[in-house]
Amino acid sequence: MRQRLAILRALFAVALLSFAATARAQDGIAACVEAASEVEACLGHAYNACLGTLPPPEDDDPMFTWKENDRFCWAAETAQWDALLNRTYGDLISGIGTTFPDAPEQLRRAQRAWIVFRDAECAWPSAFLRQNDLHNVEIACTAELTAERVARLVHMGAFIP
Amino acid sequence: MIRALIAALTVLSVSGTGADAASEVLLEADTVITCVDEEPDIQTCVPAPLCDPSWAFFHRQACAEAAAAAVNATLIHFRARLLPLLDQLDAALDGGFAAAEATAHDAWLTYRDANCNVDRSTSLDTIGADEARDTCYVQHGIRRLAVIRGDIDRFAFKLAAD
Repeated sequence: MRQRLAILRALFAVALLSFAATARAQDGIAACVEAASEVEACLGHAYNACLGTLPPPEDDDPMFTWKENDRFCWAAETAQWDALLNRTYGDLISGIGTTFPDAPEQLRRAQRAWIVFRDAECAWPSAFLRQNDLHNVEIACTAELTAERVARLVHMGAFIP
Repeated sequence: MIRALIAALTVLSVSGTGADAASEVLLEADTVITCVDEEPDIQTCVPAPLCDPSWAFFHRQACAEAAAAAVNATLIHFRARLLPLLDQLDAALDGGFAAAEATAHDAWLTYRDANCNVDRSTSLDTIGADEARDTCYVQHGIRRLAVIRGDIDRFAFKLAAD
């Protein structure tokens, strides 16, 4: 019984620490963007924070572990930019029509075109680099383009009264 | 031949205020091409800041249009350097690189046009709408140039190494 309690306590502590780390990491990009003068200066912010929390490679294949860590942290970075993009886009599209009635539909079209572009752009360098067995370039590219898109929407919003 | 075509397309002269001969600006693709070739930071090759905000509207609009044309011609020039490398890579590695690049570039053009239409329609004054669109073309084009220049270096290195 005591042993079971100790295990439960340890699990709870791990969950709590993990939750706190995730919350800190999730604040990362949004807080950085709010403080930075250039949105894209925050690219890599969550990735670097994430890498710092992961244990260094210890197994027989450190390159494999490094790639796994790299992929995991780029996924964390991309998820944060994606959340910020959704929020920025949502705010812009709900406000832009008041002053410019045609703009919401044009913005929707531009956003759809951007998604097609992002997917095509990030697929093709990946095809090249796959020859060198560097699989994570596609997800890093997605993070970079999403950051660039956030910057453009923020810039667009700044000129709308 | 490409350079002759570019020169024919973009030898555009834009006057400044008219009162100041020093503000006479010539925006040629050749100037931007040389800059993109030589400058590590492509942002310094943006011709848009040459379009002085203090100029009269007509001059600003003409300047933005010329800048967009120069950047577009520069893009054509650098893509013409990239495509043969992709063909060589396709022959060597059977990777479908040229087709994938064409798909990505077409998607970029569609995105650029759609996005710059938003800039055009959200311009605060109607007479500045084309200027806003052309300035947007310049910003997008310069970013694309940075990507293409990086690809040229990377693929040329890869081909030389193999």
